[in-house]
Amino acid sequence: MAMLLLAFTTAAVGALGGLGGAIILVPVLVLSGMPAAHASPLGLLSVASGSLSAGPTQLAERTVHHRLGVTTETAASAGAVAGAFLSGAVGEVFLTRFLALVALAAAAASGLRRDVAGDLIERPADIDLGEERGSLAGTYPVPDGATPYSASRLPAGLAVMSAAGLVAGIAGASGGFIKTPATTEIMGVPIKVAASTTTFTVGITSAAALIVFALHGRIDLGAAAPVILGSLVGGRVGAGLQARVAPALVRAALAVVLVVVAGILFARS
Amino acid sequence: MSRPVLSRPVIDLRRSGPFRYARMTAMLGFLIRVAMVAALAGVVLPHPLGTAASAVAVTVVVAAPLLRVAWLAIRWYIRGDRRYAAVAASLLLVAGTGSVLALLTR
Repeated sequence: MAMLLLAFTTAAVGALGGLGGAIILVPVLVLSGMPAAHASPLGLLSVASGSLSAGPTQLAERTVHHRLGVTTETAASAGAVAGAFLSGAVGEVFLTRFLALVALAAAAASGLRRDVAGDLIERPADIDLGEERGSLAGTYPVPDGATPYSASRLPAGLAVMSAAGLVAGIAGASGGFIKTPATTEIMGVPIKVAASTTTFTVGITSAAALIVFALHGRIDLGAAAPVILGSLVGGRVGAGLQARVAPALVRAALAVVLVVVAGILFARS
Repeated sequence: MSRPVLSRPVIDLRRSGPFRYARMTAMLGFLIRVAMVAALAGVVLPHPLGTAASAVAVTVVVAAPLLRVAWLAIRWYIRGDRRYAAVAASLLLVAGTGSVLALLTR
């Protein structure tokens, strides 16, 4: 029951802050005494559950650029598989310190993140949204019409995505706090499209690493069920609360919590 | 080309009518329900039933994104977008290679 509550709370708060629950869940599990090598797969289960849960809504919104996601994910998944193998080969102290560094990076990303949501207005009926067939381009709506965009600097984007995948495989966090800024700032994709596409891709990254963890017997099935259930429900609750709570406030609080958690992890390691 | 900037207010993108990827949405909705029921069973049922249900939940959560990629690969291939169908197949190959390496090293 404690694991269920923890997964639910971290997923809800993570969704509210736009970082996902794993970046809080894994450090809290490590601080509660669980080895980092066992906590990482549970974090990735939380990420995969959140990605699955968000899928139908994002498909209906047509904000996911599947071709961009699949293209960048080839690098990220390779990084995640490598990270999963690496996490089984390095010591607990390294994993804990790496997790602390990831928490610090996520805190910085949370503090610097821009707002995606705003007041909703009715969608113009004559705009065909979504991705273009056969390219990394698409159309995104703005209040006075539609804006075409095209992902650029693909090699640089792929390099960052492979690093994000490596982080996910080692630390059990989604790596989304690296992927979304990289997609907007390096590849020039609108932030809403980048965020939705990242939510789609972190599920694949997690799956690629989780297969390695499963075949190496590193997934605790007793803890997996409450983590999945808590993440599926908590992610939805958190997303639903976004309209009622100021996201900037939550992100600031989340950043502070992550800095404190990182400090404790460093101290304990 | 100037980078598009999202400004307030934003357009309500939610749709109630038919839209692209409607079948995939239905598939994901089904998988979410299966994962939720299996995970709930994993929480409340005793061993070994609970463990088996938990394994089902893990399998669904891991398989779902890969099924989605396989779906995209087939869809793009059928529609003549061979280049991205090949990219999607490459992504599945990466996951498959990881699985084989994990099998060999466990």
